[in-house]
Amino acid sequence: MSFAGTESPLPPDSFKAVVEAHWTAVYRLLYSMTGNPHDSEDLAQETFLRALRRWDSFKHGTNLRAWLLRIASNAFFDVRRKRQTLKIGPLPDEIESGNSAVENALENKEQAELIRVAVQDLTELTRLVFHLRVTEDLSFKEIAKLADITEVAARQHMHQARAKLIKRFGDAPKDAGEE
Amino acid sequence: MKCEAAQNWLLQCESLQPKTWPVGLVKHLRVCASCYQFAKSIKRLEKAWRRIPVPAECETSKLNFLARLSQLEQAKLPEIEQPESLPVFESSEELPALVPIDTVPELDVAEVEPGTAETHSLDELERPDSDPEIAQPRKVESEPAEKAVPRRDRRGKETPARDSGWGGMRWLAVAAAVFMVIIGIGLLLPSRNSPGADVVDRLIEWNAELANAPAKERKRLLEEYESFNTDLKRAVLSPEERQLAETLLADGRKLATSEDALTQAEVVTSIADKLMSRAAAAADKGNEKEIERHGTRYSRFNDRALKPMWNRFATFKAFEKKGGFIKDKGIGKDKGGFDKDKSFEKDKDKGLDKEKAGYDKDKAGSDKSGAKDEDKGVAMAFGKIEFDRAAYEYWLLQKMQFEQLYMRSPEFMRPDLHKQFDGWGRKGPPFGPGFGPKGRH
Repeated sequence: MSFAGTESPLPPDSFKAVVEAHWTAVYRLLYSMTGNPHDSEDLAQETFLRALRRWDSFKHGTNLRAWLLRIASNAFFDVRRKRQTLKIGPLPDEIESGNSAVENALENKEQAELIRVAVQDLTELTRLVFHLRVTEDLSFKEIAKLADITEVAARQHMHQARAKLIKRFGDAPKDAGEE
Repeated sequence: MKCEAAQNWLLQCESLQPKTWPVGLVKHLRVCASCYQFAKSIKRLEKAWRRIPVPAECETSKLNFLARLSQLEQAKLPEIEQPESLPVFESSEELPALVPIDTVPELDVAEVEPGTAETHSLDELERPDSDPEIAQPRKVESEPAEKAVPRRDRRGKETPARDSGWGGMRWLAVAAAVFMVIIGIGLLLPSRNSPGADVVDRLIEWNAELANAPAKERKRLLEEYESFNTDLKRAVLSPEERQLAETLLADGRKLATSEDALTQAEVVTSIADKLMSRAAAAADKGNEKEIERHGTRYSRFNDRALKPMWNRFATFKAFEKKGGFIKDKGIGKDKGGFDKDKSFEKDKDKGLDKEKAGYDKDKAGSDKSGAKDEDKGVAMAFGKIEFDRAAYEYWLLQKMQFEQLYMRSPEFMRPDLHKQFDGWGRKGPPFGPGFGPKGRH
């Protein structure tokens, strides 16, 4: 049994379970990349359809989520290349969330909003590396493989992201003292 | 450790768990409030990012997609619906009738007279009808049941029954094969005395020589590449040793052909890292012979390649080569180049001293805070001396890159193990109880 337009040998129920398990991670990555829920939804759908089509190429026993995130980032960059009009940016005025428990857990809602804006100001690749490292807890090696860059480059992007964010929020003392 | 080095490390580290940090950094954070605060800020920032909720649309979009999947599935069902089992041919009309094996006419054993079987020609066997005797077989009356039944080939020709001698031959052949396999395994198993076993050590030496050799010497050393390659092909090595040897061979070639000091430094650091990793792995396993072998290798390479390299960079004059900067009239006491001892003093905590070490970012303009500061810094440092700004910035960049490279070296990343192995290449590893990095030293 397979889906229309796909050659996937994966049973539908199993694939639905994959969607259930990883949709949020994929969506979250795409949302951090696009800053737009509508584009995120389109790209998430595209990601899972691609995954379904290419299920044969997934090496069982490897990190499924990393594989999906790689497809998602590829989908994002593909769309960016194809249509330069893809809206990257305008963030919602308020943080939209249906999960009030998580929302309440935030120490400072405004700060979260500021962080989101600050991360949006990073370059796409830097943002991708930062998100994958911080949210998905992937190693630099995995990130390098996922983003088709070297491990050193991944480290440098992380360095850049942290430096810019720290500088922006000014939390760290400007004049670091010496021991 | 200096604050700048510590913060730089924190910005690019993989994990914010202190247990994964270098000892020097942890010590520094214990006493430096500003760096501690810096680390805490990074941690807090990342925590805040992780806790930002996903938009509410996420859940609805997932449900939409799942519904779409179900629709796609249902739309496809009629086309791909198939019976549960594979179709079976129920009629034999379409196929030629199968002839049961039992009904195939077979020559009776007894119809062939002993001693006459060999006289049948091929034509006779192919056209049995031509021989009425074969067409109408006779029955044998006195055939002992115990008699060995002769075998027949495809054409029905009788072949002699197996004699007991073949069984013996077969066992002999099996024994010979087993013997050959044992000999083969024996040859393949690497030993320290096996041919080419020292190729890895020689490759390490070769890389160490290349690491600090001048261009002419490197060109000469490159000529040894082919002989190493041949030796490596012939050498009997374990898969891990072969992999290491192949990497060393490629690294050596890179060292010999690259003109860029930073690239060379990266290669040398990576070799040291590999050797240290192998020594560390051996230490984890508690294999003393392996610890000795890899620890000595690391130590020798450290002595012969890494230490001289850091010393060489301490007097790095790339900036002068660019032609713009007059060292003696330059930035105060600057001797040019990267000095790891001054920049990353771990034990004495001298650190990246602005006064003593290579450059002063506030004065010299490496501060990223703004162009105005840079101009001011340069003016303060150089006064009216003309200089090539691009060359100066290039020098600064290289210096910073060397510093970052040093921060990734085994000496910096694993100071405990480095300290344990240091000197083994000169005086050998310590022996006795507790030998090795895990034990007393």
